Amino acid sequence: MAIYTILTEAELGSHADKVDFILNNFVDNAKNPTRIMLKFDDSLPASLSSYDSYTESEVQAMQSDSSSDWYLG
Amino acid sequence: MLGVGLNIASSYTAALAAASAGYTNSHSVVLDGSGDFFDTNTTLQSQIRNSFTISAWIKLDDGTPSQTQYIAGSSNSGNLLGFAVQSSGKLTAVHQANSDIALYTADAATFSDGATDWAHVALKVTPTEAGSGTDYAIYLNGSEIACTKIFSVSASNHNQYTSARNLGAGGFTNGVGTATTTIDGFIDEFAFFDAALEDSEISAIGGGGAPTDITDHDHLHLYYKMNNSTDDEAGNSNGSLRDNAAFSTTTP
Repeated sequence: MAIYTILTEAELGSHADKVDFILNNFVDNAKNPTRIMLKFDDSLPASLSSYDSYTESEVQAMQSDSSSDWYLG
Repeated sequence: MLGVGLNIASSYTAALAAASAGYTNSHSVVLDGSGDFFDTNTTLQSQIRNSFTISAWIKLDDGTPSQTQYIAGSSNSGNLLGFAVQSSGKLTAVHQANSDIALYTADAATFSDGATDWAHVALKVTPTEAGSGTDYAIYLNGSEIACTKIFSVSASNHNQYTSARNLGAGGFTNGVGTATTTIDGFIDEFAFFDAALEDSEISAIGGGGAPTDITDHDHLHLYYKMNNSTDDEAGNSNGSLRDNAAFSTTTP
């Protein structure tokens, strides 16, 4: 089951695994402020465990909510 | 200078319109999304160290695929180039040079869920003066779309892009003759220009609803019509069909 998390650009930029996350886990980004959504299988890696996590259904709700920064239209 | 450039682009647009009347596009390449891709058989290292433009027509089985699908790409340690459709349906470019990385993503979904119509997509990459990082522009059907850049590639590192892997069309090469996260659908008329094309030039190539013959276009470095042939019309690097990639009579 997929699990998601959201980091700011600064948070991702300071992460040692930044490139791996961009290449393998990037799902979407949002503006003002710039944030990056990452997707993982089953659970967040230990290095990201302090961040909030979101389920597939929660992400789908954000993507279909026109008032959300993650709205896909 | 700007006026001269626009006049040249306008002249090219007119010539392209005239040339397109006689172009018969007979085939595309069909890819199954699990390793199939079109190999350009060239790394394009020196070209990617400068300004360049990638152009292709694509038709996806799903505009919001379950995982990222690469229209073009190659990966080497600390260096990569990718032009992709994300699972969100957004067009995205990722560029890494000498470990600097930039991610450039559409602000709104480019494609919807389900099979897409044929679309022309283009990525323009332009190194800039020191301090501001490389510039990117993404086009859909000849028009630039709004995108956001995350991180940046410095001018000095842009010029140190190093890759021993061929650029893949319809996939992201990760080894000799192999690619990952490939397109599930069709790709056609793949072209690589060794310059940043003018907006009007990209509009002329992709804005007309169907491909035109761009064989004589300025700065054309690779051009695969994919009309039952892997030949490069620009004469620099003939391609290869990899894995189960095959020609198809489905065309834009």
